[in-house]
Amino acid sequence: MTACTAKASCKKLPGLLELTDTHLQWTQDGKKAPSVRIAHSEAASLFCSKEGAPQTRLKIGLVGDDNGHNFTFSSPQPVAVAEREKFKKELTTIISRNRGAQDALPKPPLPVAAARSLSVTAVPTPGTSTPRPTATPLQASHSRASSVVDDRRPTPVITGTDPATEFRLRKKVLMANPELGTLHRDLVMSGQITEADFWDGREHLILAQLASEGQKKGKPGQLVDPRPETVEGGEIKIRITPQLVHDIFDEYPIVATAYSENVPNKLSEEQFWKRYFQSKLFNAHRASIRSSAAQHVVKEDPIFDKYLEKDDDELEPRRQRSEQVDVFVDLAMTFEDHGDTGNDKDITMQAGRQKAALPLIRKFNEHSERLLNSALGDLPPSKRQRTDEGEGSYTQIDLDDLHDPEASDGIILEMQDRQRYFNAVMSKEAEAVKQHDPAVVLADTKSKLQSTESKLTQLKIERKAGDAALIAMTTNVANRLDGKSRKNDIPDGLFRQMTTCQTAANEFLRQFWLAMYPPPSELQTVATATKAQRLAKQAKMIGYIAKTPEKVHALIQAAQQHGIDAIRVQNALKPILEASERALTVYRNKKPGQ
Amino acid sequence: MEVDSDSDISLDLDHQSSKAKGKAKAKAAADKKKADKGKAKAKEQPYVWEASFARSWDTVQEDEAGSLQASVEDLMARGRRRRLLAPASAIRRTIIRHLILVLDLSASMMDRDMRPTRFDLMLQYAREFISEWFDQNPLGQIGIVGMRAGLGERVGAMSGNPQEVLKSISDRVKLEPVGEPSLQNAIEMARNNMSHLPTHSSREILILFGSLTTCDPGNIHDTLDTCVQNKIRISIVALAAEMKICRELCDKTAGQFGVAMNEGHFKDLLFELVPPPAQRAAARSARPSGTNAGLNPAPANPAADLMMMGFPTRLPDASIPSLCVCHSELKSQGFLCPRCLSKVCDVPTDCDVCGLMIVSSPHLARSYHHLFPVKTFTAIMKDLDVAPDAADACHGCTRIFPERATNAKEGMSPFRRYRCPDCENDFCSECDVFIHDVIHCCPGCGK
Repeated sequence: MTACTAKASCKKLPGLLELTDTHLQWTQDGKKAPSVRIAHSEAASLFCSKEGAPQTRLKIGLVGDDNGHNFTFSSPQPVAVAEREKFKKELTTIISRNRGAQDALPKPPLPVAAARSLSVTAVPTPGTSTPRPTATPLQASHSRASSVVDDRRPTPVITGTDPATEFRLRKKVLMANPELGTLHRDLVMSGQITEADFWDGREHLILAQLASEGQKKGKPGQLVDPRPETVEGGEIKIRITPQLVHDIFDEYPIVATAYSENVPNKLSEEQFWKRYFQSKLFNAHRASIRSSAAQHVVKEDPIFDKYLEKDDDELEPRRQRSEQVDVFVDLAMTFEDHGDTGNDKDITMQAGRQKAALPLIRKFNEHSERLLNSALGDLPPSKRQRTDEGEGSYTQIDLDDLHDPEASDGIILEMQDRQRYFNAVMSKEAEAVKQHDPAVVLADTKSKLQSTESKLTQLKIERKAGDAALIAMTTNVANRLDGKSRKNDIPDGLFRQMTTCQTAANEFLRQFWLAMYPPPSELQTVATATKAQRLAKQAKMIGYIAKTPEKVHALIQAAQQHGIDAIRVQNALKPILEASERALTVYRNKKPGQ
Repeated sequence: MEVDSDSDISLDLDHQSSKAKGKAKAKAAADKKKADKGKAKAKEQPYVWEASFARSWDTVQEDEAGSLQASVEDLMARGRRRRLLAPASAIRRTIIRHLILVLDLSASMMDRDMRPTRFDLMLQYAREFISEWFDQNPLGQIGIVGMRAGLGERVGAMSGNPQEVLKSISDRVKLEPVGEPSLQNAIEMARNNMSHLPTHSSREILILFGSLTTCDPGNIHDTLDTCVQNKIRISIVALAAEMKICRELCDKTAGQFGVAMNEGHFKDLLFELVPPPAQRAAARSARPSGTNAGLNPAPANPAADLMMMGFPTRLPDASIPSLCVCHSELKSQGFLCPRCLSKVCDVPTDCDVCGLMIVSSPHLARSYHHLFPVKTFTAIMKDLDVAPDAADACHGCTRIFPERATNAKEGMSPFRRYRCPDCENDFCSECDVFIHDVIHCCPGCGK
């Protein structure tokens, strides 16, 4: 369908500019296929010539291409302006929509990748219900085709939705975690790490965000029953909200009919509701049979009384159920059982013995049905019944409560040579105990203890060991005090630089280890990077990691310039240096084919 | 306060009206009976707050001599019988657990049938539960989701640090109940929080459910099916009554379901879920064997895989402060990951950099007693069983055993002797309880 068309020239060639549901296209006069075709999602900016300018021009900028296309409306002046305004209006909404999506990445670092993943969305993503439908078939094939050199995979669409939503989700995640946001700005936007790599291993954040956003509220089960509140002066007030109106229309279609037939021709909106709440119709709709209290308020109303229905209290409900009633809940099924045996008919559960209750019961039934329908959605009735395989009549009358609770002991834990774990220690101890005869030990100890007193008086302790221990402890405590008291003497600016350097290095390390040992669960579910890509990534990350000592060194020098104890800065960054060192060693010692 | 005084007034009115009815002409019998009942109730419990104290002494009863011994023994016997139900041999249990605790934050939690309110009681027990749970499952992680106003709300992210988890539910005001709960939304939310977890750990959802309704946007049976597929175990402790869907959720996912009768029972039900769940052979919910045994030949004892763990190097408190990976803060204390040498603040955790699971050996040991439980001691019932050379005092506390048989409750030994089947030492009943409930290790066997 074409939204709007106009005669316009492009590159000084006359033609026809069209805006369809999906594309903006321009066809040169006399040709059949459009020579310029821009998808809505590619439109990034819009420029117009000034009002009253000799030529009516429209320029559209594309994603990743600010030059875009120039169109000149070739119709006579007033028409051209009107046409352009029309295009402008349509395109503005499209562009603002695109912008909203792109704000997730204020400056997409990889326009090419973005465009690619855009094209991917045209492919229906299969298996959205699998935990991580990261790669669509197209993407997978692409990543396989990519060589070792090009390890930039297109940004995977983790959630299985369109990239726009994906970007929005990412943006939200980044906004919610300022630290992650900073890291993202430092690494991805500066182009050191690709968007895909950054989110690798962080998919769960996006999924969680999606989960919390994608929630819908269920339809509440309460009957619509507007409660009048009494205000001063004995007046009764009912607050009408759009929600309430919607609920009433949904619950009582007859009110919707009345509304559409009478408003605004015969009644104003206000009058309509005022009269409705005083009418018999409203009274019939109340969720209580004891509405007699309000009886005196109810007035005859020529308009609403037309819509009054007879009370639904006949033996058969007015609205017949179409589907077949399950034999196990159909009370009428046992009706004939009693005649032959001479028993009385079972009338204990006869519906409608109290006539006044019938309309209410039926109202409740209808309400429940409507509620269930809203939950089940638009399934065809045949699919609604839960047909579990093998569920025959027998399983239906087989009550769970009558079964003996099944005692299942679980899987026996089998440990090889379990005894061995305890024996080694045990046997030694046992031997040691056996060697001693209690009587001998006792006598021995006694004899030893006899001369203790005299020995104690002669006791002299070497000072050295004690002093050494004391000094060690004092330095220990001093160190700790030192650490606690001087915590914040690094200036904020430098400290921020330090943390930035550290988090960036950590991210490189994280990427490196992820490429070294991909988590096992991913092997089955996600078509992750191929081995070649992993190797490439390792090499790349190692390249970054190798630079860490330089950066740290720069920081230490900066600290010296600030006049701060450089050793403290060095110590603070020591773990990261050691970790980088470890990564480098691991990488170097790695077997080539690994 | 307001609600309190309200209920007082209503009771008072009841009282008066029943008097009035008594003076008035005969009413329908049923009506009168009802009114009398209300009166009796009003007499028993003049104030709502008194009720919570009413029960405490009901359970303990003195015998003729005024001693409480019989009651105490009765309680112990009950505990013993319950312990006998536990499987004696070592079975496979999931030591690395991931649990999402789903709290009902709907309006029905303001009900006062549990004191002070269901909500406050739930919060209190949830805190105790979390502390106990981490104590017994140091390798586990807990996340918290709330059900409020028809949506699932992430209250606390998955964390292995008890303080962090407790902090997320420390603010009562933030969790103020409102609206209706939605089981489906909450379960979906919990499921999504766990979908990235590795398969060797358990994924569990524990729902504390006070409402009798759930307001769901879609078909909750679909959610149930996905949970079964994802091997998520759902357990529910209901505070109101049993609901078919709750029972089904638990049965199909091999979880536990219970309805709390009173405050004490609520706690019991909750704390039953502290020990790690046993791994069941070939999903119990599967149809009786024979029909599909050929299709799905699940081995009785599937092979176990090894998983990699690291024991970190602990940096002493007095070491020079350095930046940690997890918070980017200058800290003295910390642990170094053995694989990548990054510095993390707390164990157990997954290393933030290389993803290795870092634990300390006490954590493992503390989890292990679930795998190697102390065998149930046998109660000595007959004179013959007391060997002539048997010790005349408890092996644990050296209290002298009685020489002659005393009368004892069912399941209790008349000689007050309980024998370890492995080392054949006799213990008194107190030591029996202490060994099984607290130290999880028999002093006689020395293991």
